[in-house]
Amino acid sequence: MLDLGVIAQGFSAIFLNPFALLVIVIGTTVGVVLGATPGISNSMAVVLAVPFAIAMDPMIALAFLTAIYCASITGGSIPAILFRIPGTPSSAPTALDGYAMTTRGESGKALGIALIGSAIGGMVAALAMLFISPQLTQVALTFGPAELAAIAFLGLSVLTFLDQKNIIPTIISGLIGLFLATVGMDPIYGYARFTWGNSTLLNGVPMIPTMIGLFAIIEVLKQTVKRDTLDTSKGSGKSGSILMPLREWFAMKWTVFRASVLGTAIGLLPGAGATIASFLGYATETRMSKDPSSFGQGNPKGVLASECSSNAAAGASLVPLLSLGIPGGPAAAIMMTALTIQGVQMGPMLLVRQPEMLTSVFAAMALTNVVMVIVAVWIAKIFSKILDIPYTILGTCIFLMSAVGSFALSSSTGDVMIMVLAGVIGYALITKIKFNAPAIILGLVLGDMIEANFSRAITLARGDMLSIFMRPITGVILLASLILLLMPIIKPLLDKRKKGDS
Amino acid sequence: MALKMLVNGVLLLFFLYSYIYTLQNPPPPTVLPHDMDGAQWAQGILILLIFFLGLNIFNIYRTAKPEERNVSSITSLNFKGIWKSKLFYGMAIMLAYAYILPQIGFIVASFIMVMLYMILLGERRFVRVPIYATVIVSGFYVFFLWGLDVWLPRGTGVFWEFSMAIESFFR
Repeated sequence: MLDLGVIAQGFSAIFLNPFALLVIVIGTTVGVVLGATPGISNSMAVVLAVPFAIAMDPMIALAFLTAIYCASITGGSIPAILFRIPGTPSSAPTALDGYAMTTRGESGKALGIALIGSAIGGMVAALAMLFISPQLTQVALTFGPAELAAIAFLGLSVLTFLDQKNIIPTIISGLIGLFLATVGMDPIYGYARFTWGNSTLLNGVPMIPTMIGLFAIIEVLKQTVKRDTLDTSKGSGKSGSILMPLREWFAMKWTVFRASVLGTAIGLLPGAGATIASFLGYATETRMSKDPSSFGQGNPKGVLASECSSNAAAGASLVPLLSLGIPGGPAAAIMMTALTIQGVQMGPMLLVRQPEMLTSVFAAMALTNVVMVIVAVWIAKIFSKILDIPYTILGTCIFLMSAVGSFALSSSTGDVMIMVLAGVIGYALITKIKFNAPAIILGLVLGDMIEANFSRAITLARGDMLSIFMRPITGVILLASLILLLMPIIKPLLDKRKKGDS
Repeated sequence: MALKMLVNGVLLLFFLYSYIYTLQNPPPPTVLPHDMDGAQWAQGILILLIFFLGLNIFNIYRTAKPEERNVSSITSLNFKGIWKSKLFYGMAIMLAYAYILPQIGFIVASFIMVMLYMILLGERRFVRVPIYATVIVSGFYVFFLWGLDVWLPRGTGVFWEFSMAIESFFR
């Protein structure tokens, strides 16, 4: 643990500096707005902030970038809840229950849960950074490609929890996602697979446009057939209901605890990220619930678990960046570049030469999470007013927003076509054949990570598969994954046998 | 039942074809003999997909009512009704938009799409439709171009010149 003098130095650099406070408030506001804009990923939000950060003092620049980074992840939950457009893959589980709550007229409540849940998750990650950063980093360092592949497989094992009434179609959906992830060049040798001569497919099936297609476009098509206004009449979807009574929060205390700890643990692993954390957090809650069938139908715990764990993971992913100099994802890599230009040396030497940097990041994260609740509640209130617009206009705007969002990521009109195709084909597969959209996304997101790490593990083990599975951490994680994967299939059989015996 | 069987069958055939495709177009040999080549991972997924799709088809057939198991149930599917549905027109507008976007650019393509989709969703105040379309498209254009510095598709030929003229206001 860091000594108190260093902690006080970091805190005073942020809390006693009016400019730093102002920068964090601006960073948080901009981050939430950018995160809520489809097509602006958290890494793009950080990129947009870099030119301003370079002109600042390194400590304030780090606080500014941290505020943008954390707030943009939280902002992604706003369109996921209101329009079923998950801005980031980690918001996909949020869209399931969040949008169901919106259609019941509880958009305010869903937004409140997502924003406060995110803030709590972020705070837990910040505390972990402050108190056990060096120790946690050492544990994370023991993770090699085999362990990372196992972690990604653990993320995939939540498949069977996503729709327990349609297990086989859900497994097929996950496999379709894994298949889509193989399109393009393979991660080790660059061999082109399933491109059939199309150069757009060489880079693979883009994740965000596919996700927007599978969520937002399907919803617009559903509404096109159904009705001309979004039904939010069965409750108070107005902005006043954003803050939930304390007793309702108290009833969800264990969800908050589990999701925050799980998210922090996953976020520490370089490359694992918020997506696995949010899906795992969601699946854990589904498994722990007495009424798993309520998940996906507007269960507030679904929104809370997903947001709490994804934000905890986002915060925790800064630990390997600061302590080891290993960026956990693209946004962290951009932050590292911006700070290196300013002479900040990330990695083990940061704790020796500039330990106050680490504590100032903690202070910035803590402050961001507090400011975020206020700012994001205010922004969410404005956004939730949008639901009052007639669907003839809103539906068209959602489609246009989805198209621009898909295009903006890599300035490719091919991505707009992929988004539309994902929506049109997905409509048939999901609404008529009962395949599962989150399962397809899960497969698509994790496919690359599993394949790349598994291939590396095989190379390192010189082809000896047994030695990979016999590694203690890998073995335990894979066993846990297998149990999780098979539990919804085995449990009903065991229950049946128990009933037969009695 | 018939539709589920049909779609699962089509998917099964597609993945079977993809599997055969990987066998007929093998990747170059790996540098190290024990390395995983580019096709092995995909082949493993395809085998699982073929197995589970087969299992799903069997399950659908097993749980179907006896009268649904007839081959004639496939021909009884109302394909003609699809062409007249709002859903078909919605899909057609979206696909057409994605197709013409690179050719005629964001401004014109979006203006046409917004008007058509609003009418499809039930907007009957036809005088207001072009006004709404202008406001919506301008709003998105200004926000992304001016606010976020994201350059939207310009189109080709005369559309490119039109987009450039509009963009010149923001420079």
